[in-house]
Amino acid sequence: MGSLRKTYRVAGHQFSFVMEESSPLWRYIFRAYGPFEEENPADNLFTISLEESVSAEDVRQVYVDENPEPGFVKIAVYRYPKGYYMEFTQYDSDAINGKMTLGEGGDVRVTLYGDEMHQWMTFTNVTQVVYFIRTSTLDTVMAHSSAIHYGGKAYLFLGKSGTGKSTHSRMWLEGIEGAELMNDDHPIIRIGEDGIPIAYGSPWSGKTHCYRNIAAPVGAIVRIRQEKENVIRRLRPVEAYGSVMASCSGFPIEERFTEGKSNTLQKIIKGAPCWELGCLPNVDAAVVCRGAVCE
Amino acid sequence: MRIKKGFKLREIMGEFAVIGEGLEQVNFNKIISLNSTAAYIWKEIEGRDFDADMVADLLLAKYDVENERAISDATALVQKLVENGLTE
Repeated sequence: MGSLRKTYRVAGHQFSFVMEESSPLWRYIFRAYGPFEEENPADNLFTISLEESVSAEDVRQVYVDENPEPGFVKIAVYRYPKGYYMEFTQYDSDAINGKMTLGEGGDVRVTLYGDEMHQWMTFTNVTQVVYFIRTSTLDTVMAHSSAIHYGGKAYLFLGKSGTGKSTHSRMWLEGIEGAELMNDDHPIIRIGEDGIPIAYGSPWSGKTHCYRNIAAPVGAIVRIRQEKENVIRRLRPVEAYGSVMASCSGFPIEERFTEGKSNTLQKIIKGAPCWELGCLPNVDAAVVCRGAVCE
Repeated sequence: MRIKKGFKLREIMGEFAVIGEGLEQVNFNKIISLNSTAAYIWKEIEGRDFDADMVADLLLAKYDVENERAISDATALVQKLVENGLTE
């Protein structure tokens, strides 16, 4: 049985997966990444290959994720002379789910452990991490948010896990005609050539199977907070920066990555109004929100 | 005292803010707004040992203020940095 290569393009950034044709992971990959498939694997940012046993020598630990979010894997990052080595551990145990090397040129080698489901979750987490590292100097961030497509624009709802991002999106779908779900967990924001922030659907949509290969200029970015009434206010630039920064991916291991993220954030808050919505989980919250953020 | 590693002064659409964006400050989950005077002081003391006297001297060097005013402003600014956990 030979190996299979598939290429995908998310927010204009291309990457490939290479593994045995018989791998059970392809079934999951086709579902989440299928809409993003690209025929021509030119100009890839990275290629992820599955291997029997990944290892790296002369490693030096640079970071351990102390407070992983429930459901997300815990990541330990090591430097080695040719790039980064990472270990992915289940957030609630010490079981290693995966090991990965990321070379300077975007050559990624991964070994996965555990049952099929854990292997798939780790694989797609690895892909997310490599994606946001490799794009962080390219005017691109991954925004932990739920995104609605409405009236030709994208509206992103930010908030910590459990604050009701997805619930608020659902209120838009229920109460506002023409609203569609764009992505429910990690859409991408990339700055267009004219400086306009554009939101893109992605293969990373959390528990919701919403893998849409669509793009729209960002209409607004709204931080969601639970409140006893529905109130919305526009954020000042510094507040907007802090709000978006807290919910966007980052790899603070090297200055070029933090500089890249900061440059992108500056352009995002310049190009997209940012708000804070205190809200209840009801349709009125969506109506109040739309009334303020949609011109 | 010194400014801790991992903090960065940023100008955001004309306003100044200190952001914990380095690896050492990944769990620093707030942003500290600075006015332009505080931002000037930050640039001068970043990466060096400093105290309130040094900050007062920096204020006197740049602004036309009375000595006493410079000392009280410097003390207040240093206190703000300490209170927000920016120093060590």
